[in-house]
Amino acid sequence: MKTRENKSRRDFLKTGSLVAAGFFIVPRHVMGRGFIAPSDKLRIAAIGAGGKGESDLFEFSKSPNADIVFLCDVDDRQIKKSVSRFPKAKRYYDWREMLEKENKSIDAVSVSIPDNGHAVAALAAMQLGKHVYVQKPLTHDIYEARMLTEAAKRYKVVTQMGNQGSSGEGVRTMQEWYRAGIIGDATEINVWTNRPIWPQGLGTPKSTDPVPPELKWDLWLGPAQEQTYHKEYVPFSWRGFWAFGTGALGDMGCHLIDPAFKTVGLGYPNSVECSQVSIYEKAWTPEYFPESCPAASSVILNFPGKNGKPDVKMHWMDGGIIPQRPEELGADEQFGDSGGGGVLIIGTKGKMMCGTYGSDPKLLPISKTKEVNVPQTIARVPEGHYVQWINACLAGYGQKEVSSPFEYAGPLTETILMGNLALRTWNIRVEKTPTGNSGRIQYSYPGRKKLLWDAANMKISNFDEANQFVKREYRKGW
Amino acid sequence: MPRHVLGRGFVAPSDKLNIAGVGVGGRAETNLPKAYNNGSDNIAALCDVDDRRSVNARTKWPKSPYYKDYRIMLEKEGKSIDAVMITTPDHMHAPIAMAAMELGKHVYVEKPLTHDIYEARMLTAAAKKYKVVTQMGNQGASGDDIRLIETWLQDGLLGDVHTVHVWTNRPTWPQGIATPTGQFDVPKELDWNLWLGTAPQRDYNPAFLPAIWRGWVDYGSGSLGDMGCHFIDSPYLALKLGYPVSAETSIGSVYSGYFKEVINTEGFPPSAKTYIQFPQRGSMVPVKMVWYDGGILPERPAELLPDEEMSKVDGGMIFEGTKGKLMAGKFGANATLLPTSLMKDRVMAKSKFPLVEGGTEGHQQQWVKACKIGYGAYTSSDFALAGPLTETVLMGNLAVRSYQYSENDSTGNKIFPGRKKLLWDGEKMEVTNFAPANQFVKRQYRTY
Repeated sequence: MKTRENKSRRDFLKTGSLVAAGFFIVPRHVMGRGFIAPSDKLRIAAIGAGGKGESDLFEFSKSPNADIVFLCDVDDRQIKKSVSRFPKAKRYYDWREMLEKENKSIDAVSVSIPDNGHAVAALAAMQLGKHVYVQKPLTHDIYEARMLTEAAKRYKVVTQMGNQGSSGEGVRTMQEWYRAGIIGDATEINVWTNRPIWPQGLGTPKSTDPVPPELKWDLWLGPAQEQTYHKEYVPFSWRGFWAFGTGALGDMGCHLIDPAFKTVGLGYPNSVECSQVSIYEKAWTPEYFPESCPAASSVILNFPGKNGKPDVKMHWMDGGIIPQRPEELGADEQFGDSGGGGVLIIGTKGKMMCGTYGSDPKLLPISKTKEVNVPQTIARVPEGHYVQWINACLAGYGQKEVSSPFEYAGPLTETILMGNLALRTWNIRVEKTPTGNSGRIQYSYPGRKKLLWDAANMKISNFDEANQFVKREYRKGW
Repeated sequence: MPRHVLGRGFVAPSDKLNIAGVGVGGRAETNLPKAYNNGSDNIAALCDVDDRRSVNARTKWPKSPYYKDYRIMLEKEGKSIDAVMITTPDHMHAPIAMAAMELGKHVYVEKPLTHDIYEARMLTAAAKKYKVVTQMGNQGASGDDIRLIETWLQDGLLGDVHTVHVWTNRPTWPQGIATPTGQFDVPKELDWNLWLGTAPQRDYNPAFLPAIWRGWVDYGSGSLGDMGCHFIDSPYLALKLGYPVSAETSIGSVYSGYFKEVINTEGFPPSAKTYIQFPQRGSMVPVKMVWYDGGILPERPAELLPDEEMSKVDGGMIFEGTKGKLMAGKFGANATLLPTSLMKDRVMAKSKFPLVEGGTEGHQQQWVKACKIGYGAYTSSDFALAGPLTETVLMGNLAVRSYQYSENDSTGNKIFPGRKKLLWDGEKMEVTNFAPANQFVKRQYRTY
């Protein structure tokens, strides 16, 4: 490991001379790509500094070992708070420009922008040897998730997806219970969320709004296909449109499926099927909004059993529909968490459940939770998800464990996006030859079946049209 | 032949049945012609609150006296009619049917039999008490397919059946929307007061009719009311389900803005998934029935090949037993064992029950003929069967409405105490663990 020639910035800090000295005067290139002296602070550049990005940066800044050195955001309104919080951080609009110009002054990048832009930004940063923290879901499509997973290895950078529950106590407790065999082998997992808790499934806005002067719409779009601005998309409801977001699964899947994924040790699924709520604005003819994520859905994934263990069926429900309460749960006992989400793992010998982020894990019946005494075998993360990543970055690739590295978060995200692939395939329709004399166009929906997934080749093997959702076309220039 | 010698409600077999239609548009335009049977029986009187909806019927039977108010019709034509076919919005089924039965008239009532559980119980009792021939309009009950399923299941084809999944694509009209508002002039052809009937007073709004009253709790009974009787009757009959012991549901949510959930208790939700539990019945094991609507479907059975179709657009049913699974469509159509390869070259048992002439299309005529024979003659969906079946269907709605029910807690936060498994005492018609649910068992009638 190379050492730093110059006086470390920690000394600058100690003397309080950082401000006067300026932040970026120390040449870092001597360290080589991606290496940081352990004594040094992690210089984090933010891609997306408003909303969730804003709270992410705030969390990073709690570590004495991190500096927020650049802020990049396409929206002057969203970035305000971060700018006042980190006044010394230079501001950019286009992360491509930021990475190019400031490459040498950046150790790590936080990506907290609409889903559609995660992968290109993260990959660009990783190619420059930057450690990355990427908000959930890791990517917008399955191909991107696979690519980032491989990139993390290839570029030897420390990675973490922003599913912070992954560093929580609950997930670890559940893993310990599971490994102790308390519920036997998992065969079925029910996962549900009350998301979307905004109007969804109603198609793209029909009108166009003038682009606010504070927003760089072209940059906001990123790799998404060219389209006109509408205020409904920004800053939040892009989640409900496939062009930008990944729906309820993308919003909460990484928080809810994570505990089950970790506990049971799942990998790639081998099949998926779904159904979704229909929308009627007038009687008898359903609306057709394939560009919108659905208002409610039911997705069933199958995971092949490993090492002689049984297959595991995962049933995801969103938009208000929830699983049946387990027999073991008392009539007035809470099912899942009070926020409208939950996870129920059913094994050959018992059941366990938890809330979002793996909160409040319970064995069923609940009285059993206190009766079991399973020794703690998995290290806890008292520093939390954010600081854990910062410390791991400072230690260097492969030196310290993180809770949701892309090696894990990639397959987890693929699982979530597999549900979305099914939901989008569900809406593929083909015009049928008009029958009778009604003259009304009839459609068939050939994707409404069980889709078989060849994970190794990233391919739906029994319905080729579904594969358009594995990897999407980026806009020209991206 | 003088009719009076036969006494009230009796018709000489050679004679024509004199049928009055209450509600003569829409679905009645199928029911009445089938009962009329090209003149083999009489359409003796017509009643509709909407002259626009009755045009076709009045054109077809110009000599039949036409009324707007069924009460006046029954009073004036009581002596010249033998039977009444009721094809109105759900909320008026029971009041009209009860009035007709009290006069000794045979009744044919569209599905669902009633709007409330209490009404279903009352009509079931009334059919016995007044000794009239009854039929609910779930024509699938007269089909060959339902008899096949009943035969196979009772012969033990699936072993002990413990789970039934039933689903429909309904609602195929907007549900989970805001209650229509605005001031509108009542069309001159419509008597709005009579249309409302026993329902609470409300200003006229064209958004309630025709047909889409189904989505509003004052008049309709949602997806379950529309299709439940068509999809649940096969399992109900074959498995002799009786009264359920519990119901549990969840519903598709509606948001008007970010974090702004809208629960309109005046309407049914856009989708629901409901669990209805039936107890052990003699040697038959308890059955869990799961109902899905609004687009949400059950899991595809593992035995169904990935590319095989699970159901036609209207919906379907899957029976799970200790020895196998059976899947079928509406009215029990195209019933197939799973995997479907089991059906290849297999000789399935024929129905052990007599088939109905004309099958599902013979449902109305079956009732007409039974009316002529008199009380005790077999109909496929008499109220002794249709009443409890309808109660089961309405049990799902009771769960949905309890799920929507909210209260404010001590800090002013909205809470939903009815979101749990509701325990049902069938004999007493009472939810035993959530008192507010019982308001949905029986509603108040408006005097009009």
